[in-house]
Amino acid sequence: MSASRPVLLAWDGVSSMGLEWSEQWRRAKAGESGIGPLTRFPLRPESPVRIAGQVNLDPEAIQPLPACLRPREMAHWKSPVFRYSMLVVHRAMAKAGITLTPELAPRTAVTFSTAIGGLDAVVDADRSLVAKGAPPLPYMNPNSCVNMIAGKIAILSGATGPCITTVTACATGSTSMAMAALLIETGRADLAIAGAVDFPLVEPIVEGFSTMNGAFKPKTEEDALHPEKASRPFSLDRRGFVISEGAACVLVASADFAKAHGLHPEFELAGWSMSADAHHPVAPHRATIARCMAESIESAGIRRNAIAAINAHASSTRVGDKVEDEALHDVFGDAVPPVSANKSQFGHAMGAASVLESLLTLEGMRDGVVLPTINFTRDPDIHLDVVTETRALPSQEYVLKNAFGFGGTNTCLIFHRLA
Amino acid sequence: MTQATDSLLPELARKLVETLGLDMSPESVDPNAPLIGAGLGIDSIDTLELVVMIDRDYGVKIDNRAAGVEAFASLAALANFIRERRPAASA
Repeated sequence: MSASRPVLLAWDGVSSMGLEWSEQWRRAKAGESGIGPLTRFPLRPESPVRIAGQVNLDPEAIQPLPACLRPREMAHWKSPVFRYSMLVVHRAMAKAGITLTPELAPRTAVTFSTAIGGLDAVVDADRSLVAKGAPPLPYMNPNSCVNMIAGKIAILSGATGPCITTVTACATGSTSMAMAALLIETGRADLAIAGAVDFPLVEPIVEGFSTMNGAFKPKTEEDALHPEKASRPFSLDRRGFVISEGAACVLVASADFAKAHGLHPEFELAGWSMSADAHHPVAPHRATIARCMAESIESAGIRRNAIAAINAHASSTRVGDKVEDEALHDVFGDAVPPVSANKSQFGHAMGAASVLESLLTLEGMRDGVVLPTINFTRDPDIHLDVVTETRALPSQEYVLKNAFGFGGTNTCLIFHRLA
Repeated sequence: MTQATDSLLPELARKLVETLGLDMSPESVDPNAPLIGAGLGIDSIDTLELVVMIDRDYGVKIDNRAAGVEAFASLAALANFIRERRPAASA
């Protein structure tokens, strides 16, 4: 382990699968689904999207309630992105047992990000303004300011190092971890609070994903009755993603920092890469995705056959999954490692998806399992070993995590389980 | 009209507690205690939120310092301030 390599100290998440991380991991291994009815806004009879993966964060269910979530603290922060993010950051810091001293604070970065941010606050304010001429509350703009989540995390933790928001659509969470690694590798920080949050269940966003044929729309009575069967990445009958909410935080530190504090991290972020497609606003591009994967493996200093498993981006769209399949074959030839697609269970939590999926990857490496891709029916055009039942895979030293976002932004991460 | 007037004070107490997330019941807000700079812990940011809330919900503007001093002297003073200035309900 070289001194500047980024290691992972602790993490936490909330998702459609629950509020406690251990519970989410247990449900994921059991092959469960977090998808249910969409209840964030009243649905019209003709509303095309009717299901979602919601985070059921009732502050009264969290005991003891952290000070950062008390009603008085949250009074001006109406967008759920603040509740979700403060909770996961608070918990990850507590798990790591880290308090930022005056010496450590300027060496601590925040790269925790969001793709959509507090857009719900703007939509609510706009509706009141148009319908009633009511002026926005003073904290509407701060709620929707896209880097305010990172700013609030700096206030919560006391971190005074670089504070950046790594917006890269559905790759945001992975990019947050890559930028944490960059700051640590270049000696600009010793510790970084990475992660992402998103609350995309805002009416125009949801319907917009529908009109652009991204989101799953129920077509049959069977579809309506079984929301848990809607998210079908890599599957012959895949029909788009199920929109979810979520947040996850991971604390990234330099190996030196960990050593100096007597910590024994189990994982390092051994390699990463980013690429831009320079091709199409929303459709993925095979060549630049393949290059991103290959470069991330190269930056870890390993051979491609050292990768034990793949945690796929797997958006569940027709084109997205096909292009990822092709790019995986470009990199691994006929020996593509087993592939897992967690969006089948959690839905697509937008910017938070890739960090939630990274945490599931780490838990899988620790437990020696690969999570199932539920609702799978083989597509003759996709030639992958898609894991459909929780599979024992004890020796996962290196795993590749893919994330691709609108705007043609790709981020690939390589996790390494330290001996 | 009388009924509306009677309900204004408890209504304001409820909105105060809800808007600012105060850790107290609306009934326990002392209608005659100062709203700002005293036991409730209301700061300048909270005051901004209250100013906009009062404009949105009652059509009453608190747009200068003197008006602010009068309106936020206490919850009872705020209720009086609103009663004296709110636009007559349209028929």
